[in-house]
Amino acid sequence: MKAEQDMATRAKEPIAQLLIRRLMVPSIYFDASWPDRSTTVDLLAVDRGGTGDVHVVAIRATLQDALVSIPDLQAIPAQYRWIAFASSNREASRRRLTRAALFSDIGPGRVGGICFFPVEDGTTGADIVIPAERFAGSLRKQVDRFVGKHSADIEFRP
Amino acid sequence: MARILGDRDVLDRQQMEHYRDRAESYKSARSELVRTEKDFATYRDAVALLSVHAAISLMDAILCGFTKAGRSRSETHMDAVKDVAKLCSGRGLDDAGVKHLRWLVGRKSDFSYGTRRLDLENDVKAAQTKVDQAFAWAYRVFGPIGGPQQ
Repeated sequence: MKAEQDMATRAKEPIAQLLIRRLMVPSIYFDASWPDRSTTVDLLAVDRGGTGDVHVVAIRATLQDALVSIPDLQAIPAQYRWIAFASSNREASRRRLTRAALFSDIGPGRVGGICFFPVEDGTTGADIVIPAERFAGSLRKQVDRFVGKHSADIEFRP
Repeated sequence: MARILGDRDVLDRQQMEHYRDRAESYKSARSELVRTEKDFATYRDAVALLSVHAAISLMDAILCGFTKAGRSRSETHMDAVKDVAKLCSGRGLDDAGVKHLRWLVGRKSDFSYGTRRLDLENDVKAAQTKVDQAFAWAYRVFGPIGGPQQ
Protein backbone atom coordinates (compact mmCIF):
# COMPACT_ATOMS: atom_id res chain seq x y z
CA MET A 1 0.00 0.00 0.00
CA LYS A 2 2.87 2.34 0.84
CA ALA A 3 4.39 1.70 -2.59
CA GLU A 4 1.07 2.52 -4.29
CA GLN A 5 0.74 5.68 -2.21
CA ASP A 6 4.22 6.77 -3.23
CA MET A 7 3.43 6.05 -6.84
CA ALA A 8 0.22 8.09 -6.58
CA THR A 9 2.31 11.05 -5.42
CA ARG A 10 4.74 10.60 -8.28
CA ALA A 11 1.93 10.08 -10.80
CA LYS A 12 1.06 13.78 -11.08
CA GLU A 13 3.85 14.51 -13.51
CA PRO A 14 3.21 11.62 -15.94
CA ILE A 15 -0.54 12.32 -15.81
CA ALA A 16 0.19 15.97 -16.61
CA GLN A 17 2.35 14.87 -19.55
CA LEU A 18 -0.43 12.59 -20.75
CA LEU A 19 -2.88 15.50 -20.75
CA ILE A 20 -0.36 17.81 -22.41
CA ARG A 21 -0.11 15.32 -25.27
CA ARG A 22 -3.90 15.18 -25.67
CA LEU A 23 -4.76 18.84 -25.13
CA MET A 24 -3.71 22.14 -26.71
CA VAL A 25 -0.98 23.83 -24.63
CA PRO A 26 -2.92 23.36 -21.37
CA SER A 27 -2.09 25.20 -18.15
CA ILE A 28 -1.60 22.61 -15.39
CA TYR A 29 -2.14 23.17 -11.67
CA PHE A 30 -1.25 20.63 -8.99
CA ASP A 31 -3.27 20.48 -5.76
CA ALA A 32 -5.50 23.24 -7.02
CA SER A 33 -8.21 24.96 -4.98
CA TRP A 34 -11.04 24.42 -7.44
CA PRO A 35 -13.70 25.67 -7.78
CA ASP A 36 -13.03 27.46 -4.49
CA ARG A 37 -10.84 27.18 -1.42
CA SER A 38 -13.07 24.55 0.16
CA THR A 39 -12.11 21.90 -2.38
CA THR A 40 -8.68 20.76 -3.56
CA VAL A 41 -8.26 18.72 -6.72
CA ASP A 42 -5.08 16.72 -7.30
CA LEU A 43 -4.61 18.04 -10.81
CA LEU A 44 -6.42 20.71 -12.80
CA ALA A 45 -5.75 21.35 -16.49
CA VAL A 46 -7.23 24.27 -18.40
CA ASP A 47 -7.07 23.62 -22.12
CA ARG A 48 -6.01 26.12 -24.80
CA GLY A 49 -3.51 28.04 -22.77
CA GLY A 50 -5.84 28.58 -19.82
CA THR A 51 -8.80 29.73 -21.89
CA GLY A 52 -10.58 26.46 -22.64
CA ASP A 53 -12.23 23.44 -21.10
CA VAL A 54 -11.45 22.39 -17.54
CA HIS A 55 -10.11 18.90 -16.80
CA VAL A 56 -9.92 17.72 -13.19
CA VAL A 57 -8.09 14.58 -12.14
CA ALA A 58 -8.58 12.80 -8.81
CA ILE A 59 -5.52 10.61 -8.17
CA ARG A 60 -5.93 7.60 -5.88
CA ALA A 61 -3.53 4.86 -4.85
CA THR A 62 -5.78 1.95 -5.81
CA LEU A 63 -8.73 1.21 -8.05
CA GLN A 64 -10.82 0.53 -4.96
CA ASP A 65 -10.05 4.00 -3.60
CA ALA A 66 -10.81 5.42 -7.02
CA LEU A 67 -14.23 3.79 -7.17
CA VAL A 68 -15.12 5.24 -3.76
CA SER A 69 -14.08 8.73 -4.95
CA ILE A 70 -16.21 8.87 -8.09
CA PRO A 71 -19.34 10.40 -6.47
CA ASP A 72 -17.22 13.25 -5.05
CA LEU A 73 -15.58 13.76 -8.42
CA GLN A 74 -19.00 13.96 -10.07
CA ALA A 75 -19.78 16.97 -7.86
CA ILE A 76 -16.77 19.01 -9.03
CA PRO A 77 -17.53 21.45 -11.84
CA ALA A 78 -15.43 20.58 -14.89
CA GLN A 79 -16.05 19.76 -18.52
CA TYR A 80 -13.85 16.68 -18.21
CA ARG A 81 -13.45 14.57 -15.07
CA TRP A 82 -10.83 11.87 -14.69
CA ILE A 83 -10.15 9.30 -12.01
CA ALA A 84 -6.58 7.99 -11.85
CA PHE A 85 -5.28 4.96 -9.94
CA ALA A 86 -2.34 2.58 -9.81
CA SER A 87 -2.76 -0.55 -11.88
CA SER A 88 -0.54 -2.84 -13.85
CA ASN A 89 -3.46 -4.64 -15.45
CA ARG A 90 -5.16 -2.17 -17.76
CA GLU A 91 -7.79 -4.51 -19.13
CA ALA A 92 -8.97 -5.77 -15.73
CA SER A 93 -9.08 -2.18 -14.43
CA ARG A 94 -11.03 -1.03 -17.44
CA ARG A 95 -13.60 -3.80 -17.04
CA ARG A 96 -14.10 -3.04 -13.35
CA LEU A 97 -14.27 0.71 -13.92
CA THR A 98 -16.95 0.39 -16.61
CA ARG A 99 -19.28 -1.09 -13.99
CA ALA A 100 -19.01 2.09 -11.87
CA ALA A 101 -21.33 5.09 -12.15
CA LEU A 102 -19.22 7.06 -14.59
CA PHE A 103 -22.02 8.80 -16.48
CA SER A 104 -23.71 12.06 -15.60
CA ASP A 105 -27.21 11.70 -14.16
CA ILE A 106 -28.51 14.82 -15.86
CA GLY A 107 -26.97 15.05 -19.32
CA PRO A 108 -23.90 14.27 -21.36
CA GLY A 109 -20.59 13.44 -19.70
CA ARG A 110 -18.65 10.42 -18.49
CA VAL A 111 -15.79 10.23 -16.02
CA GLY A 112 -12.65 8.95 -17.71
CA GLY A 113 -10.13 6.54 -16.24
CA ILE A 114 -6.35 6.86 -16.16
CA CYS A 115 -4.07 4.17 -14.78
CA PHE A 116 -0.48 4.69 -13.73
CA PHE A 117 2.18 2.06 -13.35
CA PRO A 118 5.91 1.59 -12.75
CA VAL A 119 8.09 1.57 -15.85
CA GLU A 120 11.25 -0.49 -16.28
CA ASP A 121 13.52 2.54 -16.07
CA GLY A 122 12.20 3.35 -12.59
CA THR A 123 9.86 6.11 -13.70
CA THR A 124 6.06 6.11 -13.61
CA GLY A 125 3.94 5.83 -16.74
CA ALA A 126 0.30 6.83 -17.24
CA ASP A 127 -2.27 5.82 -19.81
CA ILE A 128 -5.96 6.25 -20.47
CA VAL A 129 -8.12 3.18 -19.84
CA ILE A 130 -11.47 4.88 -20.46
CA PRO A 131 -11.72 8.17 -22.36
CA ALA A 132 -13.63 10.93 -20.59
CA GLU A 133 -16.67 12.42 -22.30
CA ARG A 134 -17.45 16.10 -22.02
CA PHE A 135 -19.86 17.31 -19.34
CA ALA A 136 -22.11 20.23 -20.25
CA GLY A 137 -21.83 23.75 -18.89
CA SER A 138 -19.85 26.94 -19.17
CA LEU A 139 -17.17 27.67 -16.59
CA ARG A 140 -15.71 30.69 -18.33
CA LYS A 141 -16.10 33.11 -15.42
CA GLN A 142 -14.70 30.68 -12.85
CA VAL A 143 -11.80 29.82 -15.18
CA ASP A 144 -10.92 33.46 -15.81
CA ARG A 145 -10.99 34.17 -12.10
CA PHE A 146 -8.91 31.09 -11.24
CA VAL A 147 -6.29 31.65 -13.95
CA GLY A 148 -5.99 35.29 -12.94
CA LYS A 149 -5.31 34.41 -9.32
CA HIS A 150 -3.10 31.31 -9.54
CA SER A 151 0.25 30.52 -11.10
CA ALA A 152 0.30 27.34 -13.14
CA ASP A 153 2.75 24.58 -12.26
CA ILE A 154 3.16 23.84 -15.97
CA GLU A 155 2.31 26.34 -18.66
CA PHE A 156 3.28 27.33 -22.17
CA ARG A 157 4.44 30.91 -22.47
CA PRO A 158 4.58 32.82 -25.76
CA MET B 1 -1.33 46.57 -21.23
CA ALA B 2 -1.86 45.03 -24.66
CA ARG B 3 -5.40 44.45 -25.84
CA ILE B 4 -7.05 41.06 -26.05
CA LEU B 5 -9.64 40.49 -28.75
CA GLY B 6 -13.10 39.20 -27.80
CA ASP B 7 -16.17 37.68 -29.40
CA ARG B 8 -17.31 41.02 -30.81
CA ASP B 9 -14.07 41.35 -32.79
CA VAL B 10 -14.66 38.17 -34.80
CA LEU B 11 -15.44 38.76 -38.48
CA ASP B 12 -15.68 35.23 -39.88
CA ARG B 13 -16.18 32.70 -37.11
CA GLN B 14 -16.84 29.76 -39.41
CA GLN B 15 -13.59 30.12 -41.33
CA MET B 16 -11.65 30.96 -38.20
CA GLU B 17 -12.82 27.74 -36.55
CA HIS B 18 -12.21 25.76 -39.72
CA TYR B 19 -8.55 26.77 -39.83
CA ARG B 20 -8.23 26.56 -36.03
CA ASP B 21 -9.42 22.96 -36.20
CA ARG B 22 -6.92 22.26 -38.99
CA ALA B 23 -4.09 23.82 -36.97
CA GLU B 24 -5.02 21.76 -33.92
CA SER B 25 -5.25 18.64 -36.06
CA TYR B 26 -1.64 19.08 -37.24
CA LYS B 27 -0.51 19.78 -33.71
CA SER B 28 -2.36 16.78 -32.29
CA ALA B 29 -0.85 14.53 -34.97
CA ARG B 30 2.58 15.77 -33.98
CA SER B 31 1.84 15.07 -30.31
CA GLU B 32 0.67 11.56 -31.15
CA LEU B 33 3.96 10.86 -32.91
CA VAL B 34 6.15 11.90 -30.01
CA ARG B 35 5.49 9.73 -26.98
CA THR B 36 9.10 9.05 -26.02
CA GLU B 37 12.42 10.78 -26.51
CA LYS B 38 13.32 8.22 -29.16
CA ASP B 39 10.31 9.26 -31.24
CA PHE B 40 11.91 12.64 -31.93
CA ALA B 41 14.60 10.86 -33.93
CA THR B 42 12.24 8.42 -35.61
CA TYR B 43 9.77 11.07 -36.75
CA ARG B 44 12.05 14.09 -36.93
CA ASP B 45 10.96 15.29 -40.37
CA ALA B 46 7.27 14.72 -39.72
CA VAL B 47 7.40 16.52 -36.37
CA ALA B 48 9.14 19.52 -37.89
CA LEU B 49 6.84 19.79 -40.89
CA LEU B 50 3.64 19.25 -38.91
CA SER B 51 4.75 22.09 -36.64
CA VAL B 52 5.17 24.37 -39.65
CA HIS B 53 1.78 23.45 -41.08
CA ALA B 54 0.13 23.95 -37.69
CA ALA B 55 1.61 27.46 -37.64
CA ILE B 56 0.40 28.23 -41.18
CA SER B 57 -3.15 27.11 -40.37
CA LEU B 58 -3.05 29.05 -37.11
CA MET B 59 -2.21 32.20 -39.07
CA ASP B 60 -5.09 31.47 -41.46
CA ALA B 61 -7.42 31.17 -38.45
CA ILE B 62 -6.23 34.49 -37.04
CA LEU B 63 -6.51 36.32 -40.35
CA CYS B 64 -9.96 34.88 -41.16
CA GLY B 65 -11.21 35.65 -37.71
CA PHE B 66 -9.95 39.16 -37.29
CA THR B 67 -9.24 40.79 -40.66
CA LYS B 68 -11.58 41.82 -43.46
CA ALA B 69 -9.18 40.44 -46.07
CA GLY B 70 -9.18 36.97 -44.50
CA ARG B 71 -6.40 34.47 -45.03
CA SER B 72 -3.43 35.42 -47.13
CA ARG B 73 -3.72 34.53 -50.83
CA SER B 74 -0.04 35.14 -51.42
CA GLU B 75 2.15 32.35 -52.76
CA THR B 76 4.59 33.20 -50.00
CA HIS B 77 3.59 32.16 -46.51
CA MET B 78 5.89 34.81 -45.08
CA ASP B 79 3.34 37.36 -46.32
CA ALA B 80 0.83 35.85 -43.91
CA VAL B 81 3.30 36.40 -41.08
CA LYS B 82 3.54 40.04 -42.15
CA ASP B 83 -0.26 40.30 -42.20
CA VAL B 84 -0.47 38.91 -38.66
CA ALA B 85 2.23 41.32 -37.50
CA LYS B 86 0.33 44.18 -39.14
CA LEU B 87 -2.87 43.11 -37.41
CA CYS B 88 -1.09 43.15 -34.05
CA SER B 89 0.51 46.55 -34.52
CA GLY B 90 -2.68 48.04 -35.97
CA ARG B 91 -4.88 46.89 -33.10
CA GLY B 92 -2.36 47.34 -30.28
CA LEU B 93 -2.04 43.61 -29.62
CA ASP B 94 0.80 41.69 -28.00
CA ASP B 95 2.91 40.39 -30.91
CA ALA B 96 5.05 37.92 -28.94
CA GLY B 97 3.92 35.00 -31.09
CA VAL B 98 4.88 36.58 -34.41
CA LYS B 99 8.57 35.75 -34.02
CA HIS B 100 7.69 32.08 -33.52
CA LEU B 101 5.48 32.07 -36.61
CA ARG B 102 8.28 33.75 -38.59
CA TRP B 103 10.80 31.16 -37.40
CA LEU B 104 8.55 28.26 -38.41
CA VAL B 105 7.45 29.63 -41.77
CA GLY B 106 11.03 30.60 -42.56
CA ARG B 107 12.04 26.95 -42.33
CA LYS B 108 9.21 25.45 -44.36
CA SER B 109 11.25 24.85 -47.51
CA ASP B 110 14.23 23.54 -45.57
CA PHE B 111 12.08 21.15 -43.54
CA SER B 112 10.16 20.04 -46.66
CA TYR B 113 12.83 19.78 -49.34
CA GLY B 114 16.19 20.53 -47.72
CA THR B 115 19.15 18.26 -48.39
CA ARG B 116 20.52 18.29 -44.85
CA ARG B 117 19.46 15.99 -42.01
CA LEU B 118 17.43 17.93 -39.44
CA ASP B 119 19.07 18.50 -36.09
CA LEU B 120 17.07 17.09 -33.19
CA GLU B 121 17.59 20.02 -30.85
CA ASN B 122 17.91 23.04 -33.13
CA ASP B 123 15.31 22.03 -35.71
CA VAL B 124 12.89 19.37 -34.44
CA LYS B 125 12.52 20.19 -30.76
CA ALA B 126 12.81 23.89 -31.50
CA ALA B 127 9.95 23.61 -34.01
CA GLN B 128 7.83 21.86 -31.41
CA THR B 129 8.57 24.51 -28.79
CA LYS B 130 7.96 27.37 -31.21
CA VAL B 131 4.58 26.10 -32.32
CA ASP B 132 3.50 25.48 -28.71
CA GLN B 133 4.48 29.05 -27.88
CA ALA B 134 2.62 30.37 -30.92
CA PHE B 135 -0.54 28.52 -29.90
CA ALA B 136 -0.30 29.75 -26.30
CA TRP B 137 0.03 33.29 -27.58
CA ALA B 138 -2.85 32.96 -30.06
CA TYR B 139 -5.27 31.57 -27.46
CA ARG B 140 -4.35 34.41 -25.12
CA VAL B 141 -4.49 37.34 -27.54
CA PHE B 142 -7.21 36.17 -29.93
CA GLY B 143 -9.50 34.82 -27.22
CA PRO B 144 -12.39 33.59 -29.42
CA ILE B 145 -10.03 31.39 -31.41
CA GLY B 146 -10.29 28.91 -28.55
CA GLY B 147 -14.10 28.94 -28.59
CA PRO B 148 -16.81 27.88 -28.65
CA GLN B 149 -16.07 24.93 -26.43
CA GLN B 150 -17.23 26.77 -23.28
